[in-house]
Amino acid sequence: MVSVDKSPAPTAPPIQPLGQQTYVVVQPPAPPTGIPIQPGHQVQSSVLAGPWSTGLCDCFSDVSNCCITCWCPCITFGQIAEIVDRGSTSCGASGALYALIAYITGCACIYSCFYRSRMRRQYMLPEDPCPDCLVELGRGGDGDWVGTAMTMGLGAGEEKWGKGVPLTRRVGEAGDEEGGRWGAPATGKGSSSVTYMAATKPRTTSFSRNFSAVSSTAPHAPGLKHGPNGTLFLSSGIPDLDKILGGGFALGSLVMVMEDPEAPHHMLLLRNFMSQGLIHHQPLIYASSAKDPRGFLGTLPSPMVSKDDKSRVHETEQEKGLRIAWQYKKYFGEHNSESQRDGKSEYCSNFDLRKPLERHFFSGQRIDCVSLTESTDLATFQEHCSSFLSQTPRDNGNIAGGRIAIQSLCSPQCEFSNKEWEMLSFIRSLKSLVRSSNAVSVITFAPSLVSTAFSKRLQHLADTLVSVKAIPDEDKELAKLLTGYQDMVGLLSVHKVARINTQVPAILEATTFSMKLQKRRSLILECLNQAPVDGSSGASYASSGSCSGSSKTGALDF
Amino acid sequence: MANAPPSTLLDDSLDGKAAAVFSTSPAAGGRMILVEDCVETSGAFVVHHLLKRCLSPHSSDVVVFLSFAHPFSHYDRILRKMGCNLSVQRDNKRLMFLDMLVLERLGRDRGKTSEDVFIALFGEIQKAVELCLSYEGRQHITVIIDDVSLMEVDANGSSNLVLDFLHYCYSLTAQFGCSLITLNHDDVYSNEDRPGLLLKLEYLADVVIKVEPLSTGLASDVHGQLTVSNKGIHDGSGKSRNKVHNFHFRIKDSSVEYFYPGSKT
Repeated sequence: MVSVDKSPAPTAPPIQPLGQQTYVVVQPPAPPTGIPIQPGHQVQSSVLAGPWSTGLCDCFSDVSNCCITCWCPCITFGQIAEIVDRGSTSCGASGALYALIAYITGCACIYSCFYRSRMRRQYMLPEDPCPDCLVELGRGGDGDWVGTAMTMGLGAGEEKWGKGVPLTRRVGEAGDEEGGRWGAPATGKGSSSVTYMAATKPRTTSFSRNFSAVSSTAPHAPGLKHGPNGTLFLSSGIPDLDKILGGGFALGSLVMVMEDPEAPHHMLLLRNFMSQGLIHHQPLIYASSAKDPRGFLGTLPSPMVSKDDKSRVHETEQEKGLRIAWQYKKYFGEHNSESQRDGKSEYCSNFDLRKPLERHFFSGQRIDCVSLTESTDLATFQEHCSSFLSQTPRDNGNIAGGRIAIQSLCSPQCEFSNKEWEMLSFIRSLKSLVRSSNAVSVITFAPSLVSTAFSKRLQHLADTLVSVKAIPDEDKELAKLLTGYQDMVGLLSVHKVARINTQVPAILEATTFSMKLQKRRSLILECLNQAPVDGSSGASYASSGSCSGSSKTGALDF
Repeated sequence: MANAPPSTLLDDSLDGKAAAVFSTSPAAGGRMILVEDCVETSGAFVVHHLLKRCLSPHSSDVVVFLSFAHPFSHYDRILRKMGCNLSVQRDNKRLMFLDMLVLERLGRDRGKTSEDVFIALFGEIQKAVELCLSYEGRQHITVIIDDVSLMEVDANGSSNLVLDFLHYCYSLTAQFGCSLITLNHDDVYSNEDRPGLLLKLEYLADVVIKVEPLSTGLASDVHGQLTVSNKGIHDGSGKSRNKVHNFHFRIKDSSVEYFYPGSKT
């Protein structure tokens, strides 16, 4: 068992693992800027080689750095400045400024001394072997700044800041000629990182759950996978959402999506869900209030192919180095997902939202599209669903898993939209139908269109409850609070996760995620990251709603 | 087991520290317990705990379980992890499980109205109660309803029907000394301007257990807080007083831990 390193920071103790993954949670020491950490993947902070990885006079440990610093210190200075400023000032600009100051005043060491102090403060490096200014004077501003700050378990992963410069740092290596040395990050090389455990097997105990036995005894379709407590999961079509929900949508559960009338993000979820079903040859019913719901099938996305191979190759090269990553939580999932993707690439596909699904996926499939405006009540639709699902052929007694997607159930175009009890009764029977026939139903509705009591009843009926929200454009306050605000298209909050056959609730690390379109093609969900705050204005953290759980105030729940 | 299971804070608040077993004396029976929960925190674990207590080997209770929310397999799996085998109890006639999700039970397919359905349902319960009381050694019956808001759906929104049904069940408690445990969601009724179903239930109930999330938000080691208002505690001198307990809980597969706020290490 890895010993838990309880730092004095007020974070929660290790949580029990959910689902099949065995997490061992070790608290990393808090970074000096005071961002509250949630224990996530395991990070081992066993190797702490000392605050500075190389001393003041270890000139030849990193020859390349040494040469660059000797002849062109502005480059090295620029890189360091970019790290310290966390991307807000570019490498080129800082380097140019340094050169200018050196040229004019000849005393650029003062400028670099300032940066050295800031970096020391950020990474808690001692003022050693001699005060900052003296070190700077020694060479005109070199010093091994970065040291082994990275071994404090800040994670590994490719970091692209600002201008997209990948920065890696080798542990214990930096170089200089005389006086001092810049521990400037070298690009593209590095020895293997000691501390990032996710690259290796995520198990450190001798106990391991016997997964192989379970999965081999019960053969099932490629679209399903086993979950805890004897449940089966099918994929939602969005890899990040599957991960968040602990594997996917549980068979027999009812998923409700609360829409935001200002933005059609729920359609993204529906489209991915339906496409995934078609790819896995699972029967599908789609219902909406449109006159011709078949038209929606034309907007379903196609799975992405072969492009991710390229990015994977690229990343394995960079993997070897130790990376500086101040948004380290972003990278925890990377290695896991890569290793999983090889074996389970069939379970959940990455969808390219720009490309429509090819025709051959539609042929020979059991797809049914129903328009909800056809009938005045839901009874016919309900019978339709039950007969459709009962016809699901079972090959070799295996469960196939069916999908029911209902869009905008309470929209005013449907005649039954004011008959709340009828809708509730329908959903209740749909839930029992889905349970008995091992299907998953995704229903979207807009809570603003119905009464609060009705909305609450629907929320109680749901096994898994998520809501999507639009992000206003050009919201200055949000832009200040979050990083990557410009790329976000919306917010997704997970309110409830299906707990079938168990009474233990699922406590997620974060409940609100930002929806982004990666390269405008695929939907990814990311944890919200607070923008870095300058050390001087630390007071803003207390007020920035980091821990208030009440969602009524509309504060983002980090 | 030779000894009774250690009593938890929840049991203490229900029994007034008098006994660990729910029904040792006739005075302890005949109660109505109302469990309220919300979307953020589900109160189902309280129902599971009470169900397990009723079916414990120490008491000879019989349970009539009306399930509107989940099928039998769901409860079976959960209670099995807690150490209580529902299938065996059902075979031993200690548990009567009425699965209301099944259409035939409601008689919906035969075109009955909700009223008829509920009347028939109550008839079944009454029959079961009388039958069980005729066996010697079986004194106490508990009726558990999970949950009332879905019962309203079956009644097509007619809260009068639901209230009537619950009144009848409550009369059973007075007449035969049974207990009634119901689960309801209080956030559904929170926006109503006139006194609704929930208020009436709260008035009827002897014990109200409210399950809420922590006011500070989500936490992985404390899942929420419980507030138990026990109206009928007799403290021996003939007076009855209302006692309110508040404590936190953490739900695990095999049991639930109850502890006073701040005492969890």
